[in-house]
Amino acid sequence: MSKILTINVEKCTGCRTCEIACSLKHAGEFNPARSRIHNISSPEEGFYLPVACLQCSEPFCVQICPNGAITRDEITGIVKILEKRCVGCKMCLLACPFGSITFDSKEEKAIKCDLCDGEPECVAFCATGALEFKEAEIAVKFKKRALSDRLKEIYKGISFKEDLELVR
Amino acid sequence: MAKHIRHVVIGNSAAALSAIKSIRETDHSSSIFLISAENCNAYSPVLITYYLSGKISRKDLFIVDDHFYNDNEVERIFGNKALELDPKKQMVYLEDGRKILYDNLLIATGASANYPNELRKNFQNVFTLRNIKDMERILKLSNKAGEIVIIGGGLVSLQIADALSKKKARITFIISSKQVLSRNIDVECASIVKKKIESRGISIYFENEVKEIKKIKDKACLITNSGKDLKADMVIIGKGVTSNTQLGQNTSIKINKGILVNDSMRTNIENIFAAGDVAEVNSLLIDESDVFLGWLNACEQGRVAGLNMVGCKESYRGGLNENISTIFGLNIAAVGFSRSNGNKFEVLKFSDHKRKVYRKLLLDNNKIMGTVLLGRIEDAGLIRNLIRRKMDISFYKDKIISNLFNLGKILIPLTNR
Repeated sequence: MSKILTINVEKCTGCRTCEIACSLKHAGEFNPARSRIHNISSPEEGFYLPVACLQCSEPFCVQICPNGAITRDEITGIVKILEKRCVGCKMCLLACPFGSITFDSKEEKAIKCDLCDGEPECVAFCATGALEFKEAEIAVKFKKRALSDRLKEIYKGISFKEDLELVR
Repeated sequence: MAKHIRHVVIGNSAAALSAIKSIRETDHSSSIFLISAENCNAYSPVLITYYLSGKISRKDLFIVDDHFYNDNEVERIFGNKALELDPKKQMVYLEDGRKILYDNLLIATGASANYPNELRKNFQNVFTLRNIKDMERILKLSNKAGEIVIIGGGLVSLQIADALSKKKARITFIISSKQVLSRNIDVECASIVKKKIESRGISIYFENEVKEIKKIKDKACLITNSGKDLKADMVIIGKGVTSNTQLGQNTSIKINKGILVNDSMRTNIENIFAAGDVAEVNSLLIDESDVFLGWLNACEQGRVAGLNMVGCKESYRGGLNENISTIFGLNIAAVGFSRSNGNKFEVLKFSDHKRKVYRKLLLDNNKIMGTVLLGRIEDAGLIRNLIRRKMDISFYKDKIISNLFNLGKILIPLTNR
């Protein structure tokens, strides 16, 4: 069974170490702008949410990449941008309904979380245990359910239900 | 025994390829014939300007190889133009005299670059850019050209200029409207782009129309309606595109700007479908039909067409103008409306000309009708999704504005400082 990145919003303090760890691993520098995980913070509400690619099971980005540069591994479920093939046309940025793909202007390539090929750096450095990398078991599905309910509460009126179905 | 079904697809790009993929998702027994006027495997028009700039090599233009066609059991009929169609006989007539019978036909013939008649002179150095051939001719000449004039200020024109600006030629734009990218973005955003282009030593003449191109010695001489004459070694015409609807003409297929289709991508004839730049579909945002160009639209339309061709009921949500690109280092994304166009849209805006960041949302009744993003474009996909799902953002309006901008802040402007 494939592992997934789980996020426990209650535990996240918004320290953004995940962004630093990610950018160091992938871009070789401490630069949150080049991170593949992004912490959306709302300090006035005390709400912090690290977001990364959801590794959809039927990814739209894979379907539409004009250069076939995005692939999904059937076994691990990891959706990955092949750096060498990406020309930076940004179609995937427009296609991703979650805004999970960003553009690295230095390399002129699209970047997204690829779970570090199975050993996510952000998880290793997460001090509070908010980020975990776990087997996608039923228990995790409950957690996702809880997160989607929480998200629904936050995004009152905006229903992401249909989208969340995709990744569930 | 079930009848053996023959799917015939005309065209070999985004719409055709995604139709083939979706046909084969469920249907492995039917035959698929793919007819293409160009004699090569599918390449990506999105990537053509990247080849021009030298960022990728020719072989990288191709998005699928022989395996794709073989694995999907597609019989290729390449380098052969479909000339005529007889819906009654269910027959397509090819250039080389062959006749192809179909049960289901998908017309995905795309669009061709407009080449205004008054400019149509038999000069070897006047070009449009739409396919590999055009591009290779431009590439060859651009190394020698000293003066290049580009007519039209659309996305492709700007991408060409960006690619060619790395060579030593002097580039001049002649644009009929008052701004660059008039089809994609609003005036204010365009003014930021214009400054950036001019900072690269490129001149732009706005509200100018080329009346005639004369040949003087080896040079092309462009005569404009403002009386300005320009000499050039190479002229590139970027005056938009027109759907390749020829195949449907002289048949009972309904054609307007493009071949008219319903939300199953079906034409008025039951077993004929159209998708991509050739198809005229209902707009997602307003009660109108139009041709919605672009790779993403073509992929989605092709998929819907393919599924319906094998009898799965799948509906297209409707077309949306959408574009994303980087021009002269500026990241630009535009989805849906970029200006009010006489509608009473609520406008939410953030602009910082110094940092070259511009973000605009157009709302109608608390639903997003369009966006223009410059600089920080990370949310383009998210906003596109909100537009497509026609989500009412009233509960969250204040937040979504500040949140989008906060999100931008968190991401730190990646570029253009």
